[in-house]
Amino acid sequence: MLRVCEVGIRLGRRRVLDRVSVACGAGETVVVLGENGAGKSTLLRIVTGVLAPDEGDVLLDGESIVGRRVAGRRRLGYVPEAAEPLPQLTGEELVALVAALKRAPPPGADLVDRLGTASFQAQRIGSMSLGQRRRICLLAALVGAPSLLVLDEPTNGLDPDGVAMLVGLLAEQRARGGAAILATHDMDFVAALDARPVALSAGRVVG
Amino acid sequence: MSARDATAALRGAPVVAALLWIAWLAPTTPIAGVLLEAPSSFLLRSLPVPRWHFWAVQGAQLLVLELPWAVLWGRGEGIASGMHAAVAAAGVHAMVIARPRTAVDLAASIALVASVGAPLPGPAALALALPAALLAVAIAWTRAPGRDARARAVRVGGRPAVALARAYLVSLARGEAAALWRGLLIAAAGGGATALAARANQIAAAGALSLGISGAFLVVATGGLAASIARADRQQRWLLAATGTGPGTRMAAAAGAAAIGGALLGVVHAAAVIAIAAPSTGAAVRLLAGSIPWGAAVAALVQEVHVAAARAPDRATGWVVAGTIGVVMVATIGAATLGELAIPVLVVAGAVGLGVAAEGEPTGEP
Repeated sequence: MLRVCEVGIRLGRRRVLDRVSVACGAGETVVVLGENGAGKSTLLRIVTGVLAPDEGDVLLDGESIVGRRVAGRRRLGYVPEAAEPLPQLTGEELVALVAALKRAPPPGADLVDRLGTASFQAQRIGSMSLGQRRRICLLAALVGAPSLLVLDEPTNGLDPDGVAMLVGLLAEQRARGGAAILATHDMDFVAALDARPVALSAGRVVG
Repeated sequence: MSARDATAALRGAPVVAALLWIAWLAPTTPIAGVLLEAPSSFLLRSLPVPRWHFWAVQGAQLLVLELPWAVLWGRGEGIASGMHAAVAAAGVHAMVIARPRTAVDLAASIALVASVGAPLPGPAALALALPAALLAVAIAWTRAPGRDARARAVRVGGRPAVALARAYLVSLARGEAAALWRGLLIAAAGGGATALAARANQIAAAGALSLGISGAFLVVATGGLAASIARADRQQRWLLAATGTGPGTRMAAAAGAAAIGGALLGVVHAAAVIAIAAPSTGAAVRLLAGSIPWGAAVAALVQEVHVAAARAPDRATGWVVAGTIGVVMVATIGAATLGELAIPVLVVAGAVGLGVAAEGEPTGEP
């Protein structure tokens, strides 16, 4: 499903990732662990194409999604750590925009109900709380039933019900043969997942 | 015409006076909104400071905004009228932003309107407007953090470039109203300058002259819109990269959104020329038909300059200035040498520029 091959990147003078290789198969959840500054978010940003690596490649279903080869990225859903979509759009406008960009149908009412966004999705994103914003971003990430979910600190701002809902969504992602790669410091959340840990330290895979 | 003559004429023509009040209040409302509703200032409310301190500061800010309006009435009718104009305008701005919803709001609104509309001497009008304006500022301040939670839904869908362009336009309309109003005023001023130049030089068909003069005005007018769209584009890089949105789609959406704004400003420019110069119907139609693609092409070029400049953040300002001057020169020289033939040339230049700019665009964060 996902193969990160010998990826390296330098941001400024600092080498943030050094020949990192990670794989995530169909029906698998990978949790990237590591101290602050280990390179977890940078790795996820490279996986999603937000950052281009200096070296190495990222393959999704055997197809490279690095650089200008963007089409394959429509099969992934991403929620960054600081999810800051256009603040003037409403939640439902953001979801409609993502559906149009991915050329996918908008999410069904059942998914909206599960994520509990119906009551606030007519609000502008700039007026939402952090938890509401993350739920809307999660809904947008799930547009088109992506084969790979990429979640950076997904429990930030979520209440306990939200975390339980997320655990359930990730279990369903696995059950339908999808993959997920996420970075988190929330060890209770990790314990609730049936996930394979990958440890990063100073930009290298250490376990 | 002196300020005294102008205000005397307005007193004798209530409809014109009402239109002039609207012409002052409408374009300045977004600026008043920024003064009264800056989210970054909400944190200050937690400080142990009496509320009236905040009201006094916000009232003073609004009075500074109304200063040109106060000067007109002050020079025309005296200090009391000038003070009334400033206080009433500040009160109306605050009440519009607060959105009247209670009986007290309504009473204050009626008092403000009555102080402007009733034939009262300056001191009496001031006495009527002052308490209502103070109340309006306090209400606007109190309601500011809870405003704008909901927005009328806009269909953000369709093909990827169309959906993205719609999202940029929605962001522009909801979040950058001041830039939009500034652009409209500059475009109208360009129209006024064109009409005056046509009249001074006794030019009946102002088409090419309009293009030449509007080139500079529209570049400046669309600059604010282009900067806003480029900001939105930068803010969304993560989303666009992760949804497989290529540079071509991004550039087309940004240039398309700018072109729609530019076409609107082109209409405003042409309308101002037509209103002041009163050309024949045929010339007016031709002017309007030319101004729409002209405004769109100018705006698209300016947008391409802004997006391309964003690739080098530390030198972006220099690139924007140089690129903007370049677009002004191309538009002005093109109109001077080719006349109305410059319109298709500029449209083609905009399309070519789009392709060139998209070619060099990164797919993620620069």
